[in-house]
Amino acid sequence: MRDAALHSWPHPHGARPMKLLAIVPAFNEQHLVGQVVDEIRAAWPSADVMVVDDGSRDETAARASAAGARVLRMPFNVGISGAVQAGYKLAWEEGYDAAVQIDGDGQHPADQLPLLLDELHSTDANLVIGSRFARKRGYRSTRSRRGGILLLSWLVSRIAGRRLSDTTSGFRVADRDTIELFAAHYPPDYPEVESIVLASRLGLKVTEVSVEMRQRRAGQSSITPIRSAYYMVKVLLGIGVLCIGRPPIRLETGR
Amino acid sequence: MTHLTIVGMILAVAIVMGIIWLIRRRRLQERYAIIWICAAAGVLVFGIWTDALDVLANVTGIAYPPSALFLVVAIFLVLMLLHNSVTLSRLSSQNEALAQRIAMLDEALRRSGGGEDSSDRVREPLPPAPKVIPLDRRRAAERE
Repeated sequence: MRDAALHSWPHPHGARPMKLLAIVPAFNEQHLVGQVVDEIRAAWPSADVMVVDDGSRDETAARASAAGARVLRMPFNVGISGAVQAGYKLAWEEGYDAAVQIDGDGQHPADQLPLLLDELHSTDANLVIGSRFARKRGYRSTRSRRGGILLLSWLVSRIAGRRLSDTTSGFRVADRDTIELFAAHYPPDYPEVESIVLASRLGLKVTEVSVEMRQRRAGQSSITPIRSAYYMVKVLLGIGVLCIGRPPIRLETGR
Repeated sequence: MTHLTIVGMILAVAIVMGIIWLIRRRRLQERYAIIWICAAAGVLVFGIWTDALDVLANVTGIAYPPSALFLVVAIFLVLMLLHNSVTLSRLSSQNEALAQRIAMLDEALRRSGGGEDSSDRVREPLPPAPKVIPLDRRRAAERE
C-alpha cells in the first residue's frame, strides 16, 4: 500500500473524498477473479469493485461475490466492449469520480493502480493508460505483434497529440468526463485503441504511465494470426471512421 | 397468353400469398412486407407485359435485354441486403444496451433485497451459474 494521503484526495469540486469504481471484466475466470478483487482492495481500500461477469459458465460470479465484489451479471456473452461499458454506465449513474479498468484474468498489476490514479489526479489528464512499453521492460511479445502495436501506437500518438506507447492496454483509469463519454458511447468489438481515439477526438487528454504487466497465469490467450489480421483491419477501420465521422456526442467539460 | 405470362403470374401470386401467410403468423412485420409485395408486383409486371424488358433495355442502353433483368434483380438484392445489415447493426447495439441494463437492474435488485440498512447487512452469496448436465451423467453422479 502506498501513501495514505492518496486515499483521501479532495474532490476537485468539493471536500468529499474521491469515489473510485474498479471495473473488472471477467469471462470464465473463476480461478483468478477472487485474487484480482483482493489485489484491488489491497492497492486501494476505498475502491468499490464491480466484477462484470460476461456470461460465464463457471463460478466466476460466485467467486467474485464471495471475495466481496459487486457483480454485474450479463444475461449472455456480449463481449469485452459491452461488458466494460456496462461498468462505465454504472459508474456514471452512481456518481463515481473515477473508474479503473482491470482485467479479471490477473494480467494487470493491480498494485500499480496508485501510479495511474496519481497521474490522473496530479495532471489534467482525463484518461490514463497503464503502458507496458513506456519503459523497456516487463513485457515480451512476438515480432509481428510488436509491429502491429508499433503501428497503432504511432497512429494514435499522432491523433492524440502526445506519445502513447501502448494503445492496446486495457489497464486504465478514467475521470468523470471520460466516464460520461464511455457510458454514452463506447466502441464495439475491440474497444481499447478506438476508445483512446474517441476520447482524443472529443478533446479529452489521454496520457500514459509505465507499469509492469504479468504473463497470463491461467486461461488461454485468444490471439491467432487470422484474428490478429482481422483485429488490425477492424481497428484501423474504426480509427478511420472516428477520424472522418461526425463525433457521436459533444462533451461539455469544465476544463 | 404465353407460358411465360402464366409462369410470371403464378410466381407473383405465390410470393404475395407467402407474404400474407408470414404476416398472419406474425413472423413478418408489415413494413418489411411492403418491400416484398413491391417485388411481387415487379414480377407480375414483367410477367404480363413481356415487352417491358426490351423497353427497359432500350432506355438504359443495354444491348442484351436479359442483362437488364439481371441488373434490376442485382440492384434490388444488394439494396435489400444493405438494408438488412443496417437493421442488424441497430438491433445488435440495442440488444447490447438491453443486456447491460438488465445486468444493472439485476444487481440493484439483489442489493436492495438484502435489508433496509446496506452497511451492516449480511451479503447473500450469489448462487452458482446454472449448469446443464446430461441426464445420464447426472444420474451417475446421484448414484455415487
